[in-house]
Amino acid sequence: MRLQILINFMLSRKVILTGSFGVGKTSLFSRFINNTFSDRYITTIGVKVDKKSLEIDGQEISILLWDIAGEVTQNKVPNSYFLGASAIIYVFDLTRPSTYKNIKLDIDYLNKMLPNITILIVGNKKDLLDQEKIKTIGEDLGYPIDLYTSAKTGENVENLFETIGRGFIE
Amino acid sequence: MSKVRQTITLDQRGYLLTSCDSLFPTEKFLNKDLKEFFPFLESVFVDLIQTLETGRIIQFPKVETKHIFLPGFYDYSFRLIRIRNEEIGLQWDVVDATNEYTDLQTEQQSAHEKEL
Ligand SMILES: Nc1nc2c(ncn2[C@@H]2O[C@H](COP(=O)(O)OP(=O)(O)OP(=O)(O)O)[C@@H](O)[C@H]2O)c(=O)[nH]1
Ligand SMILES: [Mg+2]
Repeated sequence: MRLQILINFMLSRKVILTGSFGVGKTSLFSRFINNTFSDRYITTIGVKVDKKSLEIDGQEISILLWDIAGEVTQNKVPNSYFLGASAIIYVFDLTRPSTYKNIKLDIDYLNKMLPNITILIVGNKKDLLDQEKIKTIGEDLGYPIDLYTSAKTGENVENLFETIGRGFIE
Repeated sequence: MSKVRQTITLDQRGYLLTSCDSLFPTEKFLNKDLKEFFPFLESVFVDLIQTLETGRIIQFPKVETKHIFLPGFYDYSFRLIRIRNEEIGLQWDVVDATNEYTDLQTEQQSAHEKEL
């Protein structure tokens, strides 16, 4: 008889927060990792990494989250930062059109460099606009937005990471 | 002024082999899996071991750490090395660039604030 040993190892995945500066990447990072938020802006200059585990359908997943410096276009991000990434969260600021005007260019660039990677497009700072305005931005963008979040109130932040985690176990 | 560099070697499981300890002491990590202490390392280690070509160096500039024993900004670089019995390992260089990047952060901060 053959004995089969099942080793229940923890699934861990690298996820990157990227997008233009000031859109709220670090704020989403802190909201997810520590459940904190600050109104004060301190720009990120390179990368900061931390991790948190989530339980999805009884399966534990460790998210290794990379909070990187905002760049107006993605081709400015050091290539090495993308090594081993399983998903990318592309964040823009719903209140600043300059942060979503390069969206198509950026997503095309990322798709080309990292074929087969999951990219989620997230409009942040939803607490600053009403539903109507958000809807108009979404329509005008002509690009599918995956989620609208607020790092400030926490709205949809957990949902965002659960969506990503779920993608890893499916 | 030349920057302080710490050179660390790891086996292919991520266990600490040697360190010159120029920046932080590692005695408490000896023969332990460094990936458990450094989320950065955990997130790239397997890919480095599997995809890095011998002789090539990969650099990760401007890494901000969360460790109290390593506060500031560092440039990381990695290369494959041979350890005992032809086994492959990893060399991890940590260079302290805190001063340089603190200045850069101040500049970047004021540039961004003007546009926000
Ligand atoms: N009202 C509101 N403000 C937010 C939200 N998220 C972030 N902010 C604010 O926006 C500013 C920029 O946030 P950060 O998280 O530092 O932005 P970032 O994308 O990390 O910026 P860089 O590191 O420079 O690329 C800060 O003052 C935050 O407090 C949000 O959901 N709502
Ligand atoms: Mg930031």
